[in-house]
Amino acid sequence: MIEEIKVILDGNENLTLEVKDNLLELITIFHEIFKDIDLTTLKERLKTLKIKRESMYLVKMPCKYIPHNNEIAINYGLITEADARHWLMHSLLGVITAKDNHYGFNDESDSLLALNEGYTEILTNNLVGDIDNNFFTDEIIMTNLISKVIGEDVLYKAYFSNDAEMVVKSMAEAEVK
Amino acid sequence: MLIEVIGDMNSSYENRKHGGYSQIGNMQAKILEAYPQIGLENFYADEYYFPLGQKIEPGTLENLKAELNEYQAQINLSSNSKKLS
Repeated sequence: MIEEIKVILDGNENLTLEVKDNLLELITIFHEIFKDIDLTTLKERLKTLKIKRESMYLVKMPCKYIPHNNEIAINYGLITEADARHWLMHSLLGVITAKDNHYGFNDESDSLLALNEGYTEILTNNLVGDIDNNFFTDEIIMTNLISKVIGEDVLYKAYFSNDAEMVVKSMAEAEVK
Repeated sequence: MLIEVIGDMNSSYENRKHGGYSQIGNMQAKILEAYPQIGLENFYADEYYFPLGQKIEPGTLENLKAELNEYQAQINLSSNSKKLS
């Protein structure tokens, strides 16, 4: 699997050798911990993935994956002072779970945006460790609380199957009880 | 209520991206009131989310604990039936 991904990365002329090595390392870490997650979407998107510097007015975080363009957008001013490995892993989770213009269990209308970012950051922390002054602390805490209400397994399944409806339905059922 | 909290989360997230303040205390209070069985010990992301040995920003957690303690004191004062287990 990893060899296959290495070949795909080697074929992507949009990425530098250093970035390809970084991505391969992070993908290896992910695959070691989440062996059962299908990487078909990742393999497809890695072929044409771009990393592009964007305006600080458009990208408020050090970096952000934009599924629609299959692009990791970088805020250069912020990324140089941030833990780039951590942020790249956060973005990579977006690539792994991308669907159309969103990723994870978020949907086209961004109705679960913050919850999705909280869950993405939870996974990121577990994969590469937490960072100081984590911007997503609020989202992590709230995602943790909501997982206690609807179940952690619901968020896990919904995230890796792009199923916003599963989350919404579980919340509705929790309200009735 | 959960859908309302999701809306609060989205608003807070967007607000903070543009330099606004955290609304975490209000959101936690809503969940606490609706689902007291969760327990205060789960009101901070536990070690599953901040793996051992990893850095945590202590100021954030301490501020949150103080805010929740204040909320709990107010609930206890206002009604005996709302004691938190």
